[in-house]
Amino acid sequence: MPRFVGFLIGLLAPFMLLAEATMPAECDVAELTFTMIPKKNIDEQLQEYVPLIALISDTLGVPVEVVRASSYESVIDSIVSGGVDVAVMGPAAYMIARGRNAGIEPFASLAVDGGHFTPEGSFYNSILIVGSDSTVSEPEDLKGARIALGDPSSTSGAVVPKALFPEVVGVPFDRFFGALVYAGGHDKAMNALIDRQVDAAFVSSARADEYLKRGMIGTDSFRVLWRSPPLHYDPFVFRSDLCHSVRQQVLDLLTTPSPRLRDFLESQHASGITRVQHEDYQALERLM
Amino acid sequence: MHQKPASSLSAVQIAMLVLGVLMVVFIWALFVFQTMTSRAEALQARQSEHRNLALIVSESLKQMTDRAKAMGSLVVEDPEQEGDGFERLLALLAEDPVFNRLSVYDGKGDLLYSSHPDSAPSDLSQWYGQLESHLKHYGLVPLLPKREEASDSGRAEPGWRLPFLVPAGERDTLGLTRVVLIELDVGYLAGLLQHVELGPRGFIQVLDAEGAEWMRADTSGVIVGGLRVPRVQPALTGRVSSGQRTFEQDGQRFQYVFVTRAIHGFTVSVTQPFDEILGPLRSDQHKQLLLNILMTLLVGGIVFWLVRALKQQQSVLQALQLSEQRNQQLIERLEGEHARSSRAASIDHLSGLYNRRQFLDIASQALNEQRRNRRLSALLFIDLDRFKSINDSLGHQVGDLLLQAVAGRIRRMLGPDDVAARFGGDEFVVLLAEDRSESDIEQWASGLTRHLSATYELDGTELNSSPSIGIAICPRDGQTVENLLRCADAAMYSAKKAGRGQYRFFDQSLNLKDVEEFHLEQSFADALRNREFVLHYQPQVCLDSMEVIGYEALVRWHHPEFGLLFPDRFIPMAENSGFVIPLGMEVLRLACAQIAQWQRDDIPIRPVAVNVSPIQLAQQEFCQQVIDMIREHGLKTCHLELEITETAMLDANAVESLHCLKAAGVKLSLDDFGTGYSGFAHLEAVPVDKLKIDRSLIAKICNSHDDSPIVSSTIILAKRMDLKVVAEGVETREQLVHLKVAGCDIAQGYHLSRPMPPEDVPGFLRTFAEAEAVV
Repeated sequence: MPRFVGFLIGLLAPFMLLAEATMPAECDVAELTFTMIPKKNIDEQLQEYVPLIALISDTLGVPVEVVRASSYESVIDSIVSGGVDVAVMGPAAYMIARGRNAGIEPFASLAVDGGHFTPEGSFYNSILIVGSDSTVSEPEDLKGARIALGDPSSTSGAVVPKALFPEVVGVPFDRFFGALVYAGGHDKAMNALIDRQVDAAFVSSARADEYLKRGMIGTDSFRVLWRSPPLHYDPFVFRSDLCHSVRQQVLDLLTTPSPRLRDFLESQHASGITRVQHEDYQALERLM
Repeated sequence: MHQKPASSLSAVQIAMLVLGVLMVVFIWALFVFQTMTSRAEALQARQSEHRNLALIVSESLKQMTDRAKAMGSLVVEDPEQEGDGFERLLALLAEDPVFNRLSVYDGKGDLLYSSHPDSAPSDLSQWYGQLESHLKHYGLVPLLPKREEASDSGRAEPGWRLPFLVPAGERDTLGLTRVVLIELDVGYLAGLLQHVELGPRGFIQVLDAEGAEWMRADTSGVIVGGLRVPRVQPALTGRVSSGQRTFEQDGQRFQYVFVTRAIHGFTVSVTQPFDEILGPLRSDQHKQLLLNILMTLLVGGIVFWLVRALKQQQSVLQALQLSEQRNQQLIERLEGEHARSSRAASIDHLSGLYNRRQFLDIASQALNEQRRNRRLSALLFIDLDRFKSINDSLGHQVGDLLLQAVAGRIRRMLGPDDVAARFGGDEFVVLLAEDRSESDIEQWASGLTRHLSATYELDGTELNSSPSIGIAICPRDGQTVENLLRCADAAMYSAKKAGRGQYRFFDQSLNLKDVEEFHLEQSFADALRNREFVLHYQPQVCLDSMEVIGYEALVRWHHPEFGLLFPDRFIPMAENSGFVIPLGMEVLRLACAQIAQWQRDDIPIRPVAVNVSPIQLAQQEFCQQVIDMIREHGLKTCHLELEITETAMLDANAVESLHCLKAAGVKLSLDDFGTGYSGFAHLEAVPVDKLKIDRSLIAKICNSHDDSPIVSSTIILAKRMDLKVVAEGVETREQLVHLKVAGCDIAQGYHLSRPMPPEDVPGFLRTFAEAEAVV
């Protein structure tokens, strides 16, 4: 019985923490954990975030531990469970996490330079691309094709296509295509397309632009068959119950221009960081 | 020669074709064998590679279960832990790259705690049975539970988490104290496989204990849907077991290798389509195929070439044989022609005898042989008399036939070693090269003369010819053929001079008769000049009165050396030499002179008959000469009578002379009647007064009347024609009686009187008259 009570307490603990967060309390944060969805090679991605992490750590005066996530779901799970404090998520991943834990709060997103695939601003698209030498010219032609997706929780790499693409072809997603390959990231999906392991891929237009900038592809490597409505860029989210002062400090840090921040933004090909709210991503809700 | 049809093949060619086919079959059999072998090897290699991969992945998964077990044991360590304990778990979980979620259940399977309450199943009832049996078998070992059958929409949702049931803690009476459900991030696992080379269509599966798929991934990522893989039934015992199979899907074959860890309830399988496994081989195989095709073409080409070359060679050989045969035939023909031509060169085509050139060769050899054997040889040079006139009058065809006939007659007389040749024209040469004596040679020559003088029957025409033969004898006359030929030629000329149908030896001592005649001929002119000719008179007696009514003057040569010569010795010679005309005139003169003498001596004059040669008769001036001669001697033409032969009647000039003489009053008598070809029909054309029946007819008269019907009928016919008939050569009394009975007018012959010198005539007349008177 005492064991069972212990379990009950354990079970209730998150709610108790949530209750604590709502009231201003002293923030005895010994360390901050940070993670991000693996949009590309996670190690590269982590490397890119090192300046930001350092900036946060220096500013807040606490060590920041970066969790190396292997999938979107692991990020969702960890932010939902409160295993990490701050995460960079995809819009859909955020919405999934938010659905499971309403305390999760988006607070900022990168404003990215425009590119070949993406219009400038705070929005990007999910695009369906095929190799430029493919015989496919219409989305309908891809019936029975082997198609690459990103992570199952990726907004532009899975969620949005799954929700919107059937409207284009009039057939449920999993029945229209022959096989779905969850490549686990946009880069992997594009690689699979380049390697001709798949016939087409749903990817983020921003990721495609970055691939272009990095010289991995040319402007004529892919043809865009379909483009989703505009999507907000990935939100930076706080877990629920993260103490307010920490939130404020991080928010200030990200929204206040500084040389170190600019360096980071440049590495992300971003023009700046804008503030976002849950409402900005609410449009996604109906897609999920 | 019959050439083989081009389509038929020789045994060698067939063998070559078979060899070629065998080579091609071998090449392709080798190719098929190699292809199959390398294919099997590639499949085998890839199979073991995949088994290793499956082993490694399963080992990796097994290690993850170990970690899960460790984490599970954390939960059980402090069963009384409060929320902080779970907080610690959460932090652990957040930092763990492998595990995402964790739920804790009690022994009955009711949920005690979950890191993600919204996703955790509220109890473990669905897996409880499996868990219990698993515990019995393997104890507290983490387990991959069975996958629920996917609902109809399940496919679109990837199984993004791989759950592991970790039984933990001591077993109590209820069974288990705790069961922890730890969920593994599939993304992590997929990331591990990212760099595994599986080909574009190869993939790895994680299956549950019943073979249901929990997860499928390839190098691109986690796959949902796609190829439907037939379910395997993993082994339920043993720690690690493996197996493989192949299956077909959508017309493609797949190699399927799996490793089962029954203890942990999962199976890792690796699938790859055959064509990807065999892909790298294919280019090699294509190269090999190309090579094989080239080899086949090469072999085919070589065989074709060889067969063709053989065929050509064969045809060349055949052509060669053919041409060789043709050459052989040509050579034979050439040889034949050469033989013919050399025979033609050596043989006279007309006569079939040797020609001059060849004869000289052969004859000189034969001559040498004869001399070696110490034998006499004779070379005969034969010339046909009157050949030119035969050729001119009867034509060359008959002339040629005559030459052939002569050649045939010569040839028939040759001995085996004798050699005959025709030297051209009518000249033939014979070398007698057998063992003959001089007399044999003369005999042979005489026989040849006889043979060649016999009448020829040529193409329906009868022809008379005769040879003149000159004979030279080796070694006496010459040692060489050339010398002998010269001698024989000279001898032939002398034979020709001696008249027709004569043979003469070159050596004069052998020409006994000839020498005499030669001398006679030589002395003829002198004889005329010296008046060596004399006339003997044979009386002609009238059978009615038995009185001498005339004489026949018969010429005799009173030769100083040979004595008295009769006309048969010198008349032919005189005819041949042309002396016959002066001789005839001499005879006429003698006769006239004698009559005149008798006239002066007062001896009763009787007509004297003189024989006239046809040659002389043919002289236009002959008639006048006779008349002049008679007048010179003061005689009358009736005192002279001319005896002509039948041949005189053939010559127009002679006939003219006869008419002239007849007109002048000279009596004419036809001599030798009944021996030649003349008949009574001819007699009408000539103005003869008498017929003299030839002595040969008279000689046949015996006692009987019937013995000579010719003589009788001749006499009767002559009488009818008003001709006197004179019988010559009456030698018996019976003949005389018979002739008288037959009505013959006049008789002449030994029975009555021999020819006598003129000085005996008066005496004879006297005694004859007395004798008749007695009779």
